[in-house]
Amino acid sequence: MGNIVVLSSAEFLFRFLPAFLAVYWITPRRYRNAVLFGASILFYASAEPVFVFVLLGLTIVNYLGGQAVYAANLTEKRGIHSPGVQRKRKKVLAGMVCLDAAVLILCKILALAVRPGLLPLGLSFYIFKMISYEADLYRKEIRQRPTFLSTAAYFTMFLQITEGPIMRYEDGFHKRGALRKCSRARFEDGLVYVVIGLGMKTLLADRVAILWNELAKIGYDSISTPLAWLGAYAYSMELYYDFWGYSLIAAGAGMMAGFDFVENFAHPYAANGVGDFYRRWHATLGSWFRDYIYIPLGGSRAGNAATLRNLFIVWVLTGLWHGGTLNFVLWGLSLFVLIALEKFVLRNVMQRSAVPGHFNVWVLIPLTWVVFAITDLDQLKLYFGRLFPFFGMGQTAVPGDFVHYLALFWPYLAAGVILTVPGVFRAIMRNRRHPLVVALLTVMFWGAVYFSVTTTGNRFLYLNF
Amino acid sequence: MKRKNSRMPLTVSIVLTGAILTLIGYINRRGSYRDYDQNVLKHPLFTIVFQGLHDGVKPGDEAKSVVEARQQEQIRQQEEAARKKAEEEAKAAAEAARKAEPVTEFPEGVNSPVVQAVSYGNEDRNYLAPEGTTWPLQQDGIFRPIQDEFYYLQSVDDSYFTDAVFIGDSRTNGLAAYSDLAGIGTFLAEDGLSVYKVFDAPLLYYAAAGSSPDPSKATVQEVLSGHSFGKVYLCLGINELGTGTTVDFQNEYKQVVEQLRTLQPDAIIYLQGIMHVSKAVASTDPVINNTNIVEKNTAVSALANGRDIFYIDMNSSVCDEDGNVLPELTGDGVHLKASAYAKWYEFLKDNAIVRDETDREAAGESGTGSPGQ
Repeated sequence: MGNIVVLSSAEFLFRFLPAFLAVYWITPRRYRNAVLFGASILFYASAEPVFVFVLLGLTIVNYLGGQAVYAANLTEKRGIHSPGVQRKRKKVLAGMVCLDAAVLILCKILALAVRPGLLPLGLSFYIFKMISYEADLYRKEIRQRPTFLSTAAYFTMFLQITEGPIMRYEDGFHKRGALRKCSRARFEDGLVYVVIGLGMKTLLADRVAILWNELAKIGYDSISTPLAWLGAYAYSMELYYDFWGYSLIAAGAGMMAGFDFVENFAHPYAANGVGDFYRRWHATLGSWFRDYIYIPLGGSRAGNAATLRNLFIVWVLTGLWHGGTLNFVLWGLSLFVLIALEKFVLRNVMQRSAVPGHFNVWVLIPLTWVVFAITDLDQLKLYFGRLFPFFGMGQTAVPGDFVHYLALFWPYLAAGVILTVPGVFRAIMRNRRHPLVVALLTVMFWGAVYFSVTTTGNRFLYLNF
Repeated sequence: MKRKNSRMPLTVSIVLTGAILTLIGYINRRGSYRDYDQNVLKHPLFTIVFQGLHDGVKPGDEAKSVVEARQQEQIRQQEEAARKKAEEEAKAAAEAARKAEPVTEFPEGVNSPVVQAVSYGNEDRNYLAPEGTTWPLQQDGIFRPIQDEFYYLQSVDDSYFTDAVFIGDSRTNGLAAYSDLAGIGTFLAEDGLSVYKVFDAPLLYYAAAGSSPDPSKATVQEVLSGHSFGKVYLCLGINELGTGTTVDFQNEYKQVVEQLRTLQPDAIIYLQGIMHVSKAVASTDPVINNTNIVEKNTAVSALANGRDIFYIDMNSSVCDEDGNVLPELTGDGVHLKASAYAKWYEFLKDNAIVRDETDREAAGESGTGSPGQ
């Protein structure tokens, strides 16, 4: 069943969350950040009793750094434009960003070289929040002085710390959280998202994951080509619904606490190309890279060469952010190549027809997910050898394996395909108050809880980034 | 999502169904779901309903642990029964193994000890087995003794011999003529009879009580085929002392006993030790001496199985400490005086095997019970 940091666990959904909400609602508005911060620290400490101090330390440091930047901003606002102030702002920002990045890089290296447990839970996500906080302060997008509690609540909030979404400070903590509003309607909508997210994770992603795990068990050298392709799609589906499911639970629970919905996935498989796909997939990460790496580097405004370079940097970093092993770098690079291709080579073709774009999304992206999934390069090579059996790799597959697994998993795969259609999801949301939909959602909810209770926890795939 | 609708249908639906599930769990928490973790601090009570569902336990069913316990009990009983059976089989196997173990020595009292005699150095060794030959108990066929299945010699009275047949040479003849056994037991005897000729010729046949005291002639075959005896007493050897070696003698003797067993499957067979001779004969005769006799007796005693073939040695009743027949009991040093046969009869009465009460009373018809007690 997992512990409370897994948002799909019974401990979180039926103990921690209700307890938090109860306390949160009865707390007067001005103390709610404190409650959120306190609950979040408890939440985090339950999983990381040691690294919680790293989190606290970085929170304090980033807060102080942010205060310094803000003070400098105020000075400027009052009309004092000395170079000294400018330098100070720059220095503080640089210092904060370097510190945050260094911690992230160090921990990632340690996790790779020494022990995976050395990467604290959610480090990649909260560091990115901290960097965005500093940058937004520097850019004067945060116009009110952040309090310690609002800062701390923002960095540590349990709803986003484990796997995101990477919310911006302004979206929930600015102007004393003006955007936050506890209401019955919001609560109900939040619950709908939670239920759908839970269903996606437990009833779809976890089921389809079994197929992917089976392939690893059989050994990639013994799977037939059709099965290899089926596996690639199964994995893509698993990743999508696991992460989208989690994001919906997190966003939905946030709504129950009055936060506005944070969209992390905008039907990526309906995208018209790889570039578009990554504006829709893990949207908050994509926008983070765009706002804090790509645009500061010049984005696409400094000519093709610079654009290419910027894209390259962004995608290599994206790959590394996901994992330090070579396959992640390859993954990032392959996406860079695809996006660059689309931007520079296929642009005209894609403007005339939707087919190439959809082909890229439906055929090439699953292949990139295979690169993402398999960390051992020899195994990866083997898998591609099964996908494209033109290079004389021996075939020792069991005949009929594709049919066998298709028969076992087709309901989940079919459901997974259907749900990629934006219209389906939107229709559900539009009719979320319809009795039939309510009944179905209730059944799905309990079905998901049933599976969650009776199978050993299948932790969210992104929990270790 | 901008609707200001304050209805919360999904919330209500989930809360209601959750309450129902919790209630089901609560009601059955000590029954069907008693096996599951009911720590409500960790997770809600309805999780036990789901766990039950997963294990196939519906509300109202017996708890899995109860079902399992019952199944375990059944298995345990089956295992117990199997274990008992295995134990019994093991016991039987051990029995068989025990029976298969060769018996090298009888406990005291099962057979008469072979009465020893002093050697005077005048033995002709040609009729003896090579020096140092041992006579281990015979393990083949009817002669094989079975561990712990022994009867012990005990005292009986006259009626014991009513279904006994005495087969032998002149000494047995004497027993028939001069002892009180005459008229009680049956005798088949001939002077000069040897193991090589037991079945060949008709012998003097002294029928048992009720018939005339004068013997008729009959072969062992006829008499033993036509009647059923409870005991067969064999006493041979004095006439073979100069024929072949003891090894030959034993071999032939074995065949005689086997033939007797065929003719009388249920009878107790007594192999009587050859009576010694007096000192005067023993110390002078190279063939007829006690060393030869004792060696042959030893060879015969090895044929006993303690179960239905016994060796009895009456020499203990007529010899002195040197193993020589007392001079006052014998006239020619080889045969007992008429009055001395009473001693032999006494000995027979004191050294008898009773397997069960039918042996004692000599019912006459069929043989008595089988060994085992």
